[in-house]
Amino acid sequence: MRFIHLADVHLDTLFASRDDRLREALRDASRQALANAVDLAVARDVDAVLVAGDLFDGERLSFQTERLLIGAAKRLADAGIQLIYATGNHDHSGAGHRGHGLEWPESVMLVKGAEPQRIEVLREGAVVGHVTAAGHETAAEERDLAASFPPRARSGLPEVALLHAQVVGARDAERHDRYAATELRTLQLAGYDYWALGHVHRSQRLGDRGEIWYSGNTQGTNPRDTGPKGCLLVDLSSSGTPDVRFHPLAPIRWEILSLSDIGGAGTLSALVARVEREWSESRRSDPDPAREWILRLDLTGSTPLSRELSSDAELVQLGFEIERVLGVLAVDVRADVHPPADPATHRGRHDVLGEALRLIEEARASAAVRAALAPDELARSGPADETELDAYLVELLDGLDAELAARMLAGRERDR
Amino acid sequence: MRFERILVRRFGRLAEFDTGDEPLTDLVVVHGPNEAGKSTLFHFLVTLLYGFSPASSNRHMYAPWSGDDIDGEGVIRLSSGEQVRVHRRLLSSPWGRLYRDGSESDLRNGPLPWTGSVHPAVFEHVYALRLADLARMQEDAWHRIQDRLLGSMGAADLRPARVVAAELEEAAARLWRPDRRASPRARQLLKELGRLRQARLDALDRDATMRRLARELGELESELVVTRDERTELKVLIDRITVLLPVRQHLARIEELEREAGDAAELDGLPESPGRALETLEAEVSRLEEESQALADRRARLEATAAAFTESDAALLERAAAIRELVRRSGGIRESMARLGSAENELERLAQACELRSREIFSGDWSELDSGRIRAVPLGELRERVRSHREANEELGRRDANLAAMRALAASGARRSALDGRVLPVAGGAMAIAGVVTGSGVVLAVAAAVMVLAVLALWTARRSAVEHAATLRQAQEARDAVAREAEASRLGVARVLEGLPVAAALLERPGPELVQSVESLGAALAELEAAQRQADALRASITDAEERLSELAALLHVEVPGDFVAGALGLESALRDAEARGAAAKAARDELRELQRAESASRGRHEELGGRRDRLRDRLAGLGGGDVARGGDVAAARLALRRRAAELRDELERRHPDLAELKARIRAAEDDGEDWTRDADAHIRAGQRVETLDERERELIVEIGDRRHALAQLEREHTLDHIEGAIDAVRDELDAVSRRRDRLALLARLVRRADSRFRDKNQPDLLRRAGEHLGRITGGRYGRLELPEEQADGSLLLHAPGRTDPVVAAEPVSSGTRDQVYLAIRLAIIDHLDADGERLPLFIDEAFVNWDAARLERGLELLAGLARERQIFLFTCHDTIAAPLQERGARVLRLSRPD
Repeated sequence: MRFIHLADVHLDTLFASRDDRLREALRDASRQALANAVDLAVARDVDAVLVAGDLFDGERLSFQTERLLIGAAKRLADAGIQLIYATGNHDHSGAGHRGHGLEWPESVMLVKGAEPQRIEVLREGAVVGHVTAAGHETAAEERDLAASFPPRARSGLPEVALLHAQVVGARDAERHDRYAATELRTLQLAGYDYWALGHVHRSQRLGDRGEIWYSGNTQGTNPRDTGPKGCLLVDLSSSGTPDVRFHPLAPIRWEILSLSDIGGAGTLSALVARVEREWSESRRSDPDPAREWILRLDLTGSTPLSRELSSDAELVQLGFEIERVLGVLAVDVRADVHPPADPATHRGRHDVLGEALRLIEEARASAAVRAALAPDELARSGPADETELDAYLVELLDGLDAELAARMLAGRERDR
Repeated sequence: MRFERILVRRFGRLAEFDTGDEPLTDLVVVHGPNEAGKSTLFHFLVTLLYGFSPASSNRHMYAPWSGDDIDGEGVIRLSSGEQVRVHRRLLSSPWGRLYRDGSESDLRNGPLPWTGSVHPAVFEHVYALRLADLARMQEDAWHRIQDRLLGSMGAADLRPARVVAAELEEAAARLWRPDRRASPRARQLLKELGRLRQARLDALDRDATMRRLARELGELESELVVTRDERTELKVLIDRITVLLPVRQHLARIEELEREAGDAAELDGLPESPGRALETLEAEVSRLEEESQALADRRARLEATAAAFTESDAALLERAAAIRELVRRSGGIRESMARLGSAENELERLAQACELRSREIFSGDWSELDSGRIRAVPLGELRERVRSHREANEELGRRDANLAAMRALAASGARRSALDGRVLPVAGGAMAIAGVVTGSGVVLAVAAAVMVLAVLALWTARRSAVEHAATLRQAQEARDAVAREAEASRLGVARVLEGLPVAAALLERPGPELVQSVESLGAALAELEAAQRQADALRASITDAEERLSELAALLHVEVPGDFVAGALGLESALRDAEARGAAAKAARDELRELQRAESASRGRHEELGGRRDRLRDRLAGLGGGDVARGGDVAAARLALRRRAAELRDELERRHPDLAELKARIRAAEDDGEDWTRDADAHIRAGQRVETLDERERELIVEIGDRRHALAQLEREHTLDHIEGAIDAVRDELDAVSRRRDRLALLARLVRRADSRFRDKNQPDLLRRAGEHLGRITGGRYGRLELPEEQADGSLLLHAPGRTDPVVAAEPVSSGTRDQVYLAIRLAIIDHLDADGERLPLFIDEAFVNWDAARLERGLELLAGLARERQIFLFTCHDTIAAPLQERGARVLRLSRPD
């Protein structure tokens, strides 16, 4: 039995960006990723395509995407490939959902109930394996759906489990909502030849036996979705460990470049040159020349450019420049930097700066001082009570001493 | 703390500078000219206190040029009485040691522990008071000075807190404001968010519309399929009624006709009208037999014509070209004969002319003359010799005449001389006589003269006669020479004409006429010879032609008359006859070949038609039961039936090129059970329904097109995910803007609070102390300073004892007083800064140069007092300042400018 395991396509998910062009490119990329998966399935003549949930973001599924999905399913059906699709939290089968009642072709095996369902996988009319799958019925499935999976059947054929779930301990699992959470041990005990999982966006193998896999998502949806994105081509033809190979599908990749030691760059040009060097180095270790890139550049630490990097307009311009130099689709620059002067060295001063730095220390230590310093009216709406307000003030105090020193010290001393 | 000893081994320009074992006093005067190292010493002491800055020897401004390490130490007495020693060196990295109580600790580059809370930057700015600081004070507004002095405690590295706070508040307001004023970034984002939310609702509406349109589109497309299916069925029905049924009926009629026509094999090959065809065949056979006889007759005639052309005719034809050449030449021969007659007449005339000319020159018989010799006479030479002879004769004539004239002249001269010889002596004698007679002397003189003349005349005549005789002799000799020349030329002429019988008279006096006659005779002889050659040529041509004619006539055995022209024409006539017979014979042979083919064809046709006639007669006899005529009628009737069936089939195929398919459809319809009984009403009803369905199909296509177009337009609009992505991004930015604003507002508040707290904490005591210092300096003129909160510009007020109205510490208050206010505040700040720890040393550099003597005295007194609490280093190059302080116990360190 040979199949493609994919998950978290997230068609029609929102890409938070002010750039229309970028949002459209990412939407097209997520659609193209699905088309690439179908191409791969047809080219490799697989028996089935298994989708482990979150094929689309149901709350905003558009008419166009609906047609695209149905079209992809028809292509697979025309090629004689079964599509077995178990719903996830974003495309759950509950009422009131935009994806509810989608009219799939007859060949699609849609699993939308929490009760596991065993499906035959056919090749030219003969059964070559089985897929046991369960789906999400709501947007926040709190049950351990894996626990309800029956033990592996003794069919003499490959037995595959298909589920959208969070496995505790998986890498990056904490970045996702804790839906249908389960333990690795639960999966192992069920004894299936292969677990096709969805929900966590990082492709990874769980456990040490090689039968439990997250395929990861097919196209990154936000800056933290770094690394190659695609699907897994799984071959269970031979006994023993499944033969699992990753195939990239995403036309666009997100990457984060974090630089914390930028003190040596005295000008923005030097900073750009430094970024170029780091990026080249990064690409040498992870070449993927056929794709487009969106880069998140995180700048931290002390720098003589702190004033420039505190200006939104400068950051945007810097992003454009780096985008041009690196030849990437977009660059988002985030800076949390402070001037070279260390505020700690000024804390003992007998002047207003020393007084203000000591006042910040007092504010960090005392809620009453924080409350006294709080602006009369806050721009940010939301702090519902004193506790929430105080937590917000604590957040605002973070790094405030560095900014204070930067603003109060005259130029030479500030930049020393 | 106090520095008791300073040892600078290497620091900038200072080297091995040591204040010695004697402890430095509270007040130390560093005296030296500019650039002697006072500033270097100050930085050395700062370095001992705080360490190296920068901490790299490469970048340190006091690194010795020699490349040695910076090195120096100091002995410090603390307020507790403890003595410590600090030693610092700047190697590849800073090195520092603190020695106290017999132990040492590693300072690295850290400050001494007693510098307390005074930041090195603050120390550098506040504890070193220079003349330049006072000058700056004169320029700054007081509120800025108080910010710097009271807010930053004099540290120049700080920006005024109120300025920073105002900037923060302004920056915060650009991001968000609680009121409705201006257009901060947050408000712009909220507006954009509002627009996007509306766009989101629109996108939802669009999606719903698209789904509705897609649903309607599906329904319409389904209806279109149903409509087209029904119409197809109806068209099948109509097709059967309108197309298949007539074809089927047509096919049935054909089948019936073919059945009535009977066995087709019996009629195969029969003409349409067999009886008439038989008659036609018989008539044709008879005609062919007649034609065959006529052809035989014609062949006999043609064979006779061919035989009339004989071998003689052939021989003539072979030489046709030669005969025609003779005929062509006959005209020329006739002309040549005529020209020959003329030529012979001309010969005779020319011969006569030559004879006449010959007689003019020659003597003897003309016929014996050698005409070649005559033409060979060199006419040029003859002409030249005749010309020489004529000229010589003419010259001879002239000389003879001259000679005669000369002789006549000589004769007359002799006569005149004789006369003179006779007359003059006579006249002289007569006159002499007369003179004697008369006795006149004059007459005698004249007679003498005449006598002289007579003598002269006689002498002259005699001499002239002698000369004439000589001249005559010469002329005679010349004449004889010319005569010989004339004779020689005459003989030359004779030699040229030698051999020719030229008349002697002509040779005796040869003249131009002789040359002309010889020349004319030569020309006439040449003309005669040319005419002779022409006549010979004509004669030869005529003879040649006549010989060829005779040869041809003999060869062809043709009798021809003796005349050449008539003979040639006779040959030509015989040739034309032969050619006519030859052409007739050739035409006859050609026609004979055609005739043979015609005869062969006629025979073949006769055999064929005869056969056909016989077979047709036999078949008709068979069909008519032995009666040929009846058989013809029967065959004609059956053939007519077959023909009708074929016509019907042709018409059907012409109308229906797809007849095979129609037949298949008819069979298929019959297989479906079609009974072909539908009537015209069914056809009409079906047609009406089809029209209705066509109309509906058109409507459906339009409606489907409209919906597809609408769908395509809506699909181009932004989808929900696209808009929500923008909304999310705007929300993120709004959140970031809000957080940024709140952070800035918090920071502004914090700065203001710190500023206020710092002032509250320090300002009253600081101003009190500054007032005390100012009172001592001014001798009590100003005793108190005030910084009222209500002063909008932050002006500092000076209070004088006994006066209720303070003055603002600004112009017109004198600059000296403002300097002293500044110094007083500065001293108070310093007291404040290290009040809780060791008193750090104070450095004053030429701050008093502009003070009047009284206030300088009081100022130095103040410093001397303060030095008991805090060691003071006073740098100056003025003895007027150093000396009074030395009197007050100050240790003076003298620095000199290096060469």
